[in-house]
Amino acid sequence: MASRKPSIIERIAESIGLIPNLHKEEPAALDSLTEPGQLTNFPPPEKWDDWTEYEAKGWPRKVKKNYMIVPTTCFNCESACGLTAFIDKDSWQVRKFEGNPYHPASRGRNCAKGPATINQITDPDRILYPLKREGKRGEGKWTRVTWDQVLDDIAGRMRKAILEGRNNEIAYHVGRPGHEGYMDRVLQSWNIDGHNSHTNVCSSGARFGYAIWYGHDRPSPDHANAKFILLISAHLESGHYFNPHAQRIMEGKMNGAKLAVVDPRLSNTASHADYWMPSYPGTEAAVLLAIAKILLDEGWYNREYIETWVNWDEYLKKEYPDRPCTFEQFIETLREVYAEYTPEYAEKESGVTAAMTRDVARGIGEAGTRFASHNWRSASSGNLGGWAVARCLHFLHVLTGSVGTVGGTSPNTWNKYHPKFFDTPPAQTFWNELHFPKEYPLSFFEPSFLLPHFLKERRGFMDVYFSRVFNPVWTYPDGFTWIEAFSDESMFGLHAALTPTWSETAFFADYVLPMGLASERHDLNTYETHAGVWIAFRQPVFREAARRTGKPFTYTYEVNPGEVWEEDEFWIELSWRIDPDGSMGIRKHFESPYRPGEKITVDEYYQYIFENTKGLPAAAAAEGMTPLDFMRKYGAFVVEPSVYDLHLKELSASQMEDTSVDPISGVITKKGRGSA
Amino acid sequence: MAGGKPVEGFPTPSRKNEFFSQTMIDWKWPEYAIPTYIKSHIHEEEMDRSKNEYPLVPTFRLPTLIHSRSGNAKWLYEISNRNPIWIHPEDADRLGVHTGDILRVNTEIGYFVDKVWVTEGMKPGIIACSHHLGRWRRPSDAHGNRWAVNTVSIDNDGKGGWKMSTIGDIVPFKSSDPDSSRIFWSDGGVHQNITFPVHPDPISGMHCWHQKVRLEKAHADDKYGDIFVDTNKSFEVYKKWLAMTRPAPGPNGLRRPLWMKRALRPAEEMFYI
Repeated sequence: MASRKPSIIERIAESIGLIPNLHKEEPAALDSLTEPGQLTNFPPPEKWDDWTEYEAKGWPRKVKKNYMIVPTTCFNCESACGLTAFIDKDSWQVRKFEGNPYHPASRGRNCAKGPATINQITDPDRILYPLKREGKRGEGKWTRVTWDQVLDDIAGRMRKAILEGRNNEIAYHVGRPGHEGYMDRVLQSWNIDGHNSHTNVCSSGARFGYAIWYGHDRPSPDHANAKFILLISAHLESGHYFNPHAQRIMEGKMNGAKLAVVDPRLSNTASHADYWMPSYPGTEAAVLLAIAKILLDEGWYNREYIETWVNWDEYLKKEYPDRPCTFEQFIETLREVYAEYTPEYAEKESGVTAAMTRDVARGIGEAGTRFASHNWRSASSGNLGGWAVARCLHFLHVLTGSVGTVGGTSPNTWNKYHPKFFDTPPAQTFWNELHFPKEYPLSFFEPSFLLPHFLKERRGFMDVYFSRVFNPVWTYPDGFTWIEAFSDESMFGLHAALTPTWSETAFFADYVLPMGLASERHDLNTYETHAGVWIAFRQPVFREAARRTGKPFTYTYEVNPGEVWEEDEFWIELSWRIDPDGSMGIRKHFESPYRPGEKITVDEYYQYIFENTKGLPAAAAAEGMTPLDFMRKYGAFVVEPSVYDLHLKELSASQMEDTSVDPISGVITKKGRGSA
Repeated sequence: MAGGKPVEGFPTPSRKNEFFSQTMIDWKWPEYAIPTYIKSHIHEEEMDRSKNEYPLVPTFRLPTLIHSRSGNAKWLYEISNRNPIWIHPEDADRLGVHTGDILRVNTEIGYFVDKVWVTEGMKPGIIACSHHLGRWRRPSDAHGNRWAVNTVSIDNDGKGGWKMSTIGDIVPFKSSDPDSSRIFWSDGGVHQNITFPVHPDPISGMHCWHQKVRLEKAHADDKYGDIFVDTNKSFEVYKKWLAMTRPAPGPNGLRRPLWMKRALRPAEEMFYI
């Protein structure tokens, strides 16, 4: 590119030293390091083993750096966008993280949190060795211990608890999982009902609202193909799957979609909206029902969809047995039931003007099956009865028939891959009432923020408690009650905090066990970011670099900084030590599918999944690679480019075996269960 | 069956979208058999505006931070490092505060003291405060996340009263990373979540984050970042919300509807009490 001539103002500013003088001598154009031609955003993958570029900080000197490029995925939110680590071949350090153009959700683009991974791995305060507390809990005194001591101590304690039938005293409490199914397998191999999560401070309100409608518990909007997008809260800047969704919301807008945002705050999202609906928090459902009423009154509803895919006849038969069971009667009844939800009533409740509600309703009506929406945390997680917001939002999809359509909103599970594991232990034969108490039979996930109150009430005891990327003292409500419980050894016997970095919760643990950051661990990722299905491979980049260059290693911690482990290997090793001779029936779930009787390696674990991923072996073979090597090289794979209308998928003859069809409802039942 | 063909449908008892939920009736919530509007615990009717009661929206995310997991990322804290209270000019006038003034925000179990940011980007009558910020360590704790962490003192009276005060801001420090001596920000924000009681929704089990708070001008000895909580009150609020539940068993002695998802699903016989 020809250099631009400095303006007069620039020249004056340079001459008096206001800005650096960059024009004293025009540096010669840098030699191009790639073939002349079109500019590209990313190094081509055939050069990822040996990539040379100029060092940005070396300018104006022409410092060349030689890199190996290894893909992995980000761990700074739930999206798991693609990253590429640029490993400097001279210093054997990661120089930077950029995007991975082969990642189907992020498509090479990242938010600020992705490249900032470099800060985390070079953080001067990071924890590099396992630590054990000295003195009282929370006193702040720690001693370095060996991983052998840690594993033997915890495994011995767990072995004793399981042998004594105290399976309900072991729990794994996770903040951000970041993996797909790995821990369910581990916990069930121990036969414990020991999963506790962060979900009920995050998304369970919305999940319940969706699940009560259609069994699936999350939405997957097809923003890119929508004609109208309705966002409850700030999904363009900070929602779940923020970066992948933001790209597609903007694509939708560029193709003419209108955007409405419900948020009491003029967020960056609201500022990009065609309709900012600043509602009083907690009144969103009133606005949504007003929209539903307009769709019904003005005839925008999709008769074909509702007639087939809504249980309207069950409603009429049970609630209005004296009325004729016809579709017209159903619509009439709805109009009657929701008559009070006028836009004026919604305005009184929410502050959103009746005129705007009408405009938005008509926009949704016109979009029809191309109506996309999202609601994750915000309203559903802020309010008593917040789950009703998600329920009323899905009502609009049902009315417009935009469930699972092009430009509509699909169930999450349609856009998520379900990996096949080398071994699936049987379901546990315990029910832990600390996780699913009787008071909350419909609770979507565990009411985990009540745990310290349950322990204070002596409903149970936690003998071995793992917190993992989980910081309830800080993130949860009522952190001081957590401090009180964590400090009390009659409530928590042993607390091991698995974390890459110090946290307010780790301060009150017995063990602080450093686990790898995004580029120092394995995980399988698959999320409902758009109307396709993909998997991505988070991998420890130095491990892959060592493999490519033939450097010897066995475990990830050997190539990570200090003695930082990855959880995958930790759980294999711990499980093996709980049941070293296999007599408890645990060890067999950690034996290699390729080397009978031997301990599985993390490579074998993923090898099996990738060998059994639809389409991946063929794609790998086309490049002369194994499926595992394909994932090591590209870091991601598209399982299905697009998925719609899965509810219409015909059942196969084998699925129909041993089934009966209810002549009235049309429900197909398999061996007495409603499973087909 | 649809159109005479056997198809997948949806994983519900009717295999359809359930406008009408027999499940809600079976599990003792007949008033919610169909989609409804439920008035929130922070509905306007719950507010006594003469006492300066406001709904606080404490949940909004910043695009640059992620909960408490990004405190080890210097670039991100360079961009975002404090969490003032967003308040509309009309409300600020009413309370007599300007941008940068401190305000005492009283929750059901205590209070926190935060600065205000007066902005027309907030709906009048509502206040908001972003999370992620207000990370802390005590002087006795290990150094970690120093880009993000205030030093605090925590005093516990042994009877459930907990007082936290900021005794040290974010400061430059010497380390292997030269950037650590170039930290130019000092404000690490205020930890609001610790002043909230639990609010379990009786149906979904969701913690209902929004708070009814009472705003007052800071007291004479209040300092930015001060926090007080009485955990006895926390326990009372927990019991109050617990009393709203309608416990299992449901039909046939079930702990939970069999058709509904459950994390780490146990063997089917475990579903029966």
